Amino acid sequence: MAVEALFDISEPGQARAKEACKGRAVGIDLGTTNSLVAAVQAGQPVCLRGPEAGASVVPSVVHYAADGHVVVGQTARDDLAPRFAQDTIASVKRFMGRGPQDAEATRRLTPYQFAPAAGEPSLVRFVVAGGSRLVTPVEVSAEILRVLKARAEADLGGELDGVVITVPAYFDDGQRQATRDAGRLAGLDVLRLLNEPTAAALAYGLDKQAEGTFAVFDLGGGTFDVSILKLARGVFEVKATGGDSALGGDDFDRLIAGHLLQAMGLPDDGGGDRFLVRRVLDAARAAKEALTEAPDIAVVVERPGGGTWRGQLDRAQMEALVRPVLDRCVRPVRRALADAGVAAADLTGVILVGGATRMPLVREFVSTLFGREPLHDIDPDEVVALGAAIQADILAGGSGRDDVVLLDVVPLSLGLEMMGGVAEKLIHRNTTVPCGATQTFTTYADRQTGFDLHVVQGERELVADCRSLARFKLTGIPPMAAGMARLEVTFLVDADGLLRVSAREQTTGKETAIEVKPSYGLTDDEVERMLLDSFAHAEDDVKLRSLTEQRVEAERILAALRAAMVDAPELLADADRQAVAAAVRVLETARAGTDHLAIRAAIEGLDAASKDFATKRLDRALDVGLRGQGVRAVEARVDESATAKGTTAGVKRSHAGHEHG
Amino acid sequence: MAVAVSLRAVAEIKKAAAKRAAAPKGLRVGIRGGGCTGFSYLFEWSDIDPRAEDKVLTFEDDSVRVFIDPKSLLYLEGSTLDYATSVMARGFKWVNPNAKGSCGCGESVQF
Repeated sequence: MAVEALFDISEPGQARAKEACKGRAVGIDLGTTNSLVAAVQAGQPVCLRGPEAGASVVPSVVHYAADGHVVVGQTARDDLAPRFAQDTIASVKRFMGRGPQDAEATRRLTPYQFAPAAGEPSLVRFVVAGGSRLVTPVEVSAEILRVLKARAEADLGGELDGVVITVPAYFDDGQRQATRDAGRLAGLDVLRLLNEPTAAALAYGLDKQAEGTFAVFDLGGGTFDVSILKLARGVFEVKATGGDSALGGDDFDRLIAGHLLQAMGLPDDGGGDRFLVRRVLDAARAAKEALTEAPDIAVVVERPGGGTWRGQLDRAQMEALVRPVLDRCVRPVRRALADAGVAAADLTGVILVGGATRMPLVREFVSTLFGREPLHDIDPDEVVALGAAIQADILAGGSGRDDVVLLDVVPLSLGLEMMGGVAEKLIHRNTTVPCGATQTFTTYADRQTGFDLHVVQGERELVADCRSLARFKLTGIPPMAAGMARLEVTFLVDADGLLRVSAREQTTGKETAIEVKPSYGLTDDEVERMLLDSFAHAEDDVKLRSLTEQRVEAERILAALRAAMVDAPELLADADRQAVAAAVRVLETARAGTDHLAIRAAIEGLDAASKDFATKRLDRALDVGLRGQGVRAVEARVDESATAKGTTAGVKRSHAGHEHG
Repeated sequence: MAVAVSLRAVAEIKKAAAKRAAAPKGLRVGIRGGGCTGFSYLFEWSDIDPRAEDKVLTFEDDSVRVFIDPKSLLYLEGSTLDYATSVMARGFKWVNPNAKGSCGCGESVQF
């Protein structure tokens, strides 16, 4: 534990004055498809459009030209991407905090060329600028952030003091760290990473309500997220999140395009004509957007080899086409509600986020699914950035209102590897951040002089099934008997969801700490899969865990007994020798089996058989070291240290003083 | 559960208030965003009356008053405000069972 802080009483307003010097703070929605920057101006959050007062969205597309210059945004997406597919990176968010091994990320966006993995930790690197340059996803994101920064500085007239960047609620440590790094690389002071659904709720001013539970339904271009937020006395908590990272408005476009191609009498993959597919997809998107207002529209597409095709599309037709994709939102929504332990009827409100939620069909679908009309009066493309701007303003002290405390959750449990490959969870899934936990561990073997700490994330009981976040060592502990050292391990997750682990051996005061910065993160598909796995394997896992634990325990006891027999063979009475040997054989057989209860029974058997031997050894130890004290007193002390073995609860602080009020 | 103030702390608050030019209406304590790990303790005199939603603790026939806003109360619930003296320093401190750790700068607190 760090030093306890002592306070003096300050004059009113003094404490806040320190923070209030920061004035220009903005919120950034760093999206998969589009990014935005917003700021609070005259008390109202607005999206910044740059000096030309153009569109608020900047397409998250970065082009690296062979001559070295970088183009971000609409030009990169519309003009350069079709011509320089390899040198123009889109949807870089999918690669943030990921490794090259991540098949999911690399499979979907194949136009890119990846540099072969090299070094440790290995990173995803795109080969761009005609093969002359390697860039990481963090660098690509930083380019987008630089453009947003320049836009904000031009609009606000000066350097930015800080930014709040939004991230999906399910982003793990690695992905958050990567996002923060991108901000730093772009020369931004990242005040806070804020979960996207929380930002949306802030934009709607829901923090001003007394309390309630809200669902945020976020259907973007390529991803679908649903989050359940709980608000109590001005405090937001993300209770649960769910979604599908391969579901979005783009899927609607593809289905409509397929229909159009069919109507044109062409194969629904366009016969491999990439330019035709692009034209039809554009027509499909335009049709989808037009049908938000109009009940039916005319569609015109240039045919391959000249001529045009003219057709009709009405809203009912389109809705029938996209309905199957939309239905895939049902399961993640139900799961999130179940995870949060609320029924749709208990919700106070539903918020729509993402361009695809403009479609009347989607609104209707959400109304039916949740049994209430969703909130949709803020532009669903801008709502997240506006919420981030509000949070940035609060953090920068510009709002003058009471601080909104925002709470987010840890998406997957964080733990440590224990002897035998068992994962001990220190911080459980869905714990609100910032949070922390402390547990005390001890040594497994005699004369053990170091600890290997392996930090893992996941829901499964065995380390092999969880994701490895980091490994570090604590060495230099003087040799002691097994179980005597006391290693206090502290996990702290800060308000941005970033993990810091520290370990301190209490008898020597040796300590070490790391910022967990994994080489790559998890995809939300993986998060989903790991969660499903943990349910599917729960029973097996628990059995396997018990088995592993009992085997480790058996191993320890056998080793201790062997050492004792070498140390003091004369103390083992002949009558006992037979019984002990038999009990050892029983335990060895049980240990080779897979029944943890049998191993437990055999351990107890050996314990009973060797009791007399153990007592005699203890007596001798007393004679040598503690002459004059009763056996009982020493036994009591041994028992005490035995409870410190394995895991015990966190440090308890004494609780002094009178209770008033 | 409630928020407690040790007798020692009450005495120190009274002493500090007496030294102040204008008698304060009370002592405002709470949790604010900020500090290097996310939260920091607020600890300042109040020259205005408590707000309607504040929790007010009174001691020694109203001569010492402590105001806590409802949000901070969520976090301070179960804590005791104490006054500590050590070789290095003296000052008020929170004995907070909810806090999971403090940070390097000492100003922040984690839950």
